[in-house]
Amino acid sequence: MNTESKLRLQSYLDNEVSSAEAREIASWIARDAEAKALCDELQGTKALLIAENELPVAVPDSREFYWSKIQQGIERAEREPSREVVARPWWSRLLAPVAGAAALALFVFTSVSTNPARNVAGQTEQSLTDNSITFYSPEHKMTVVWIASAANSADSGSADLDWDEFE
Amino acid sequence: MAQKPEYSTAADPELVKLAQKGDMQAFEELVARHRDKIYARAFSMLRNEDDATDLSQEAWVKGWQRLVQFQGEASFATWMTRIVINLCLDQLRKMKRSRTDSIDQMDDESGGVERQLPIINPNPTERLERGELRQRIDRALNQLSYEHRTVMVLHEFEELEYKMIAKKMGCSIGTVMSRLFYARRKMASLLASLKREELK
Repeated sequence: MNTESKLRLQSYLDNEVSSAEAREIASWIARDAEAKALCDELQGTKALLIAENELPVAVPDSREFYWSKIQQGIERAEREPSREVVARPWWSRLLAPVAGAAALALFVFTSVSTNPARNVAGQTEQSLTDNSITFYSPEHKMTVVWIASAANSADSGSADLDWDEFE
Repeated sequence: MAQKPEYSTAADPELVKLAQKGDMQAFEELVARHRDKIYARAFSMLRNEDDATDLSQEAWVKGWQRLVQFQGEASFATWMTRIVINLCLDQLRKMKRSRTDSIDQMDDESGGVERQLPIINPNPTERLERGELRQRIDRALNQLSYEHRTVMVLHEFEELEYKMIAKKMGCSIGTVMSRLFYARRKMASLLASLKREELK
């Protein structure tokens, strides 16, 4: 008997087949000893489990003890009511750091876009002695000064610039 | 002054209505009435007393929180049973994720072992006392993988159709059918071997 036939037999026992198919399987069981034996075994196990389920099972704890933990759970849940109702998707947890990073990127971008070397409207002055660059924007009435830290300027050029802003 | 309800004699629907209005004593009475049934379902799926106790208590907390959603289409006990089953399924999924399947389990899953099981006849539990029967069935159930046990519990105990089990377990109907078939055959084989052990 192949697997498909066995599963068909089981579907018949579980009332998961049409009435036409049920008649067909019933006649097969009647003439095939192997199918009949398997059918009896499956039915026997099914009946046993149903009987087992009807046997009483009792909570090992006393009524008071069992209830006290439920009551504590209810009280705890009521103290923090929004946790289950407002279940946020996993990606929402990333929003704050991503938003922070985006704001920083925007800030850096706008700073770079006002880079004195590329800004023709403003005035730029680069000091030869202290590794600082000063930019003045007449339009915004604002002065921006980039100051390279001594340590960084010595070994990494202008990679890490500290900067101050003046109005 | 409103008369204090007689909780111990009130019918379930009456207690549910009171509990829906926030009456904790009414809810406690419901817990006392149905706690064994809810615990039994958790135990049948998890096969561990402590886990079943914890999870059934969690189910009652959820039941209280969602009580306003209970419209009475099914009985209160049935509604609570669904909650505990869903919690058990979640728990079993978590356990599955943290577990590494052995080759034997994979073989079990695909029904490889089943092909070698001889058909068991006659019934290996004939003439057993109730207590002995339970003990033997419990031992056999403990030896099944949780996928097989869960399919069997949902089908035999909750009387769910294949389609509904597949939906609850997130698998195909074909998988439900083969798991159920394997679980029944393995149960028969385990019960027979337990009988042989006892006769030695």
